[in-house]
Amino acid sequence: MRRQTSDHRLVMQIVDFALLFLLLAVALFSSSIALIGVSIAGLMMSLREFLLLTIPRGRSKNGSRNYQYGIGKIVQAGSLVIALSAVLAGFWLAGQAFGLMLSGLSEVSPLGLALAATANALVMIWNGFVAYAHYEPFDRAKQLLLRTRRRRFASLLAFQILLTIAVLAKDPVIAFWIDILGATVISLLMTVGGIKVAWEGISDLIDYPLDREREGAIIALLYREGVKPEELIDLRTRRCAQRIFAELTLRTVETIPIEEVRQRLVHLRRALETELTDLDIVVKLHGSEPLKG
Amino acid sequence: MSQAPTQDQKAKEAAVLYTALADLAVFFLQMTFAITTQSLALLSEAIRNGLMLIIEFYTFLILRAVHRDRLGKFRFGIGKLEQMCNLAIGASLLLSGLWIAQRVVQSLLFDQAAATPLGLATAAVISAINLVINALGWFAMMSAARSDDSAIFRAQWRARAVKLFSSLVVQTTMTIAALAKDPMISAGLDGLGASFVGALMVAIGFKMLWGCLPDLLDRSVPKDLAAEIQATLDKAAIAPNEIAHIRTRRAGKSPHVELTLATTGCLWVRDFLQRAERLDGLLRSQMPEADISIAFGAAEALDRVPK
Repeated sequence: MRRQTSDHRLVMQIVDFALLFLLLAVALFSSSIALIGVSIAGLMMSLREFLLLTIPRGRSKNGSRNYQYGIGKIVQAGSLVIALSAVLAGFWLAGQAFGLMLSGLSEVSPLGLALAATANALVMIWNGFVAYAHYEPFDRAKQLLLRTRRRRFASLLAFQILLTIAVLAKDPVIAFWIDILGATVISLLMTVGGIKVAWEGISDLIDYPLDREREGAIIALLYREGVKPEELIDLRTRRCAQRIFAELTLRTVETIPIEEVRQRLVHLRRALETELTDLDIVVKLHGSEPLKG
Repeated sequence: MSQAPTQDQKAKEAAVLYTALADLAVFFLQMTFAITTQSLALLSEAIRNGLMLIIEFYTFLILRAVHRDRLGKFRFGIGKLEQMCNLAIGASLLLSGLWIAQRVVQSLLFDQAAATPLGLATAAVISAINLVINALGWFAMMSAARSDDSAIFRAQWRARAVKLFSSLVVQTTMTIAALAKDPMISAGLDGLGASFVGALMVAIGFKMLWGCLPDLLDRSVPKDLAAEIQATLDKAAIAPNEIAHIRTRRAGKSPHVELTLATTGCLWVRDFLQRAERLDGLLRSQMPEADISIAFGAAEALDRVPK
């Protein structure tokens, strides 16, 4: 079953890249900078998706000798590079659109525009199929990727409407301004999206803690599982994509049997891991007397 | 909650800030004259200075934040934050060095016009001011250096030494280029200075990138440190079956060491805590800057308890 899913994913990604390269080729032929932007943005997104989906999750969780906390940070670093490239590409595209606007020289031909509309329609239909023609995944990471794919479909749809108007209008002025408008919007989306992903990647790489809301949710879970507020000395958290790393320090009475504590912690751990599927938790114990220093 | 810095801390902050501001003034001068005179060497030196300035201001901000206890939210320490900044600067240095190399090759291949004699003379004067500031900064740091200086101070001193060395080379080539009457010699020396600074930027940038990547990617600690941990475990007479697992990851000068102890041989919680405390003390004495966690081995028990 897993093998079948993996093959299915591989085929999907191959088709994805093939269509995007086709779109890029048509974009270069038609000289439409908006379409060049669409194809670059699509390639960046597909590359990130490829990176996030192809890393074997089991390996990333259990880690290796050199990466004992998993290889999630390598994936995040790759994602950061792609995001920064998207930001740069966004700036480049904005510069091109601005230059065209100033010069007023457009090289978009009616044939090129018609080809661009056809190629974009093809990519849009494919993305709509991938985004909606299967069940909602349970995995949070895949859910996020699916959401990104749906956003991409919506952008392609909006761009398709503009392209169709430009083709049908048969007016070079309309075609020119639609191309500029499309390129501007895409450059903005690429830059904003790239900065957002880059910020997430940087936060993960520098061990930035979870936000208060999520930390509060973990503490609430601990209380629900019977940990008393006076027992909870400390909670340190950090994250790497969807994976949460938590280090819990609990106060305990020294004169109770170790087996009792072990049973309690085993159940606590199990409860936490059921609620937070991608959790790596470490429990430290401290005696009942106050902490030194 | 932030705290007020002491007078000594304020004095250190002021020293770092004033040096950075002097560098900033020189940077603006260099940029202005590099653009107006079209001197490649001065432009490359200006870019390198600008990037080094980012490190200086970053260090200043970190220093301020540390003095005011504002980085407490980084519960696993600021080692990764430092490495991220190194990564950004390293990448910028590397890319800028490559860009300068491309400009040098372009000017050689397409025989682009060299800077004017007046331009080269002005560039040489600006470069001399920069050289003096770098020399003064380096001597001031050398006289203030102690054997137990912090990593931040040592990094600043090293950066100042690189600055001094490259500005010395640029000054030499720039002065000869300005004095030479032959435009070919001027252009050649300008290109030579730019190539040197470019090569230096690529080398330092690559070294910085290579040095900080393992830390940012949570790679396990180097072999010598792993051996040190093992030696400490042996010294503490911890049997292999008493350790559930060890995980380590790098984070600048403060590596993270996570030791999960099994409960083998412990009857009461007290027994476990004594073992953990002894080991914690030994590891901290061996690696005072490391972030050490001695965890309770409940995970291995999880496999044995029926669900």
